[in-house]
Amino acid sequence: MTTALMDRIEPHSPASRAGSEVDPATLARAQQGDATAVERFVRHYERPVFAFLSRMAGRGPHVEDLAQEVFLRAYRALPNFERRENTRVSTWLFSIAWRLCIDRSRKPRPPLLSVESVPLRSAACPDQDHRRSRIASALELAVGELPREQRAAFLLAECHGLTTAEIAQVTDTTRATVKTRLFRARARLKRSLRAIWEEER
Amino acid sequence: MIRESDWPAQEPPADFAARTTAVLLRSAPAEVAASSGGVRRRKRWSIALLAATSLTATAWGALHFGSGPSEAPAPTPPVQALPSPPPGVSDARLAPPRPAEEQVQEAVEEPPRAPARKPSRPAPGQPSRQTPAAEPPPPASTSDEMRPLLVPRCECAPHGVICSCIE
Repeated sequence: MTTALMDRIEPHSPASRAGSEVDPATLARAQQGDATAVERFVRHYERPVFAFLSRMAGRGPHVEDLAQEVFLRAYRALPNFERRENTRVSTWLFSIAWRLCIDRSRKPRPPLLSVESVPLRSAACPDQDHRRSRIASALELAVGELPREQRAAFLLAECHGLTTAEIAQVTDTTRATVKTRLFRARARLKRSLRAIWEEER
Repeated sequence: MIRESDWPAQEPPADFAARTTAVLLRSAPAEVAASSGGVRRRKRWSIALLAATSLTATAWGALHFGSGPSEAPAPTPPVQALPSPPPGVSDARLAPPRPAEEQVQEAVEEPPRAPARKPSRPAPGQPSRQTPAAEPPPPASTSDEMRPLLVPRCECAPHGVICSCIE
């Protein structure tokens, strides 16, 4: 199922692709507190952060608060951020977001909004809309039923294109554990989405 | 990867970046300085500097003005009671020959030395009292020893009756 969905790649944000990061000059100026650079930094990463948080914690107004908290924490630690070869800013932001999700999961969660309540942007024809809406609902439900760690691994791999090593870095675990989580998540999603998969075929 | 249109995520509001930036810039300067270690580093440095200064001053003071046990000159080795030579063996073999006058004077003036005694330890049951150790005689100041002896020049007549310049 996921491989079928993966066939139609349509990146939604510059930072969703591996290697697309904010330019070093902007990062350096943001580290020094330059307002323009900070805004550019936030604008560059707001969509992937929102996407990850909303899929991890459910849609709603709390996502905005969480995203703001992510950027606040990042900005506080930004002067100490060192750009190395294997470190990406997006990976670092995802790790902050992941920790926030863990913190938040200890508190009572607000009810999740249905995916149907969110209008789909690229709606060309009603049939297509309906089909996509069904896929999205099913996918969201199925992913929402995954354990938190498996969900994070799956989202980071499938929605944000992170490698196993990067996911291990974000979730502070080993690559082998990430592989196991991904394997289990995919197997579980395959079972959950079998009906839609058959229909699609 | 999953297509965005297949599973749309929540979009950030249009003014999210501007609002967030305002929040960051309003709240962060002090926190950024603190988190970057600016204030803490300065504090740490000043404490380290203070500690180093006080240590240096203490060491210098102890070296120059101190009279503690560590600063005292090395104590003379305990006088070891030499076994009394058997009768008939004179000290002449052990010590270099000295002028006869000196030997005589020493024999007259020097009182008989008591044999050196080891400091007695307290009994196991008794509380240990720190008796002042046999203090070495106050050392003659080295500066006096090193200073050349100035003898006033005698300007008396060569065949004066009484010359009291040198006594």
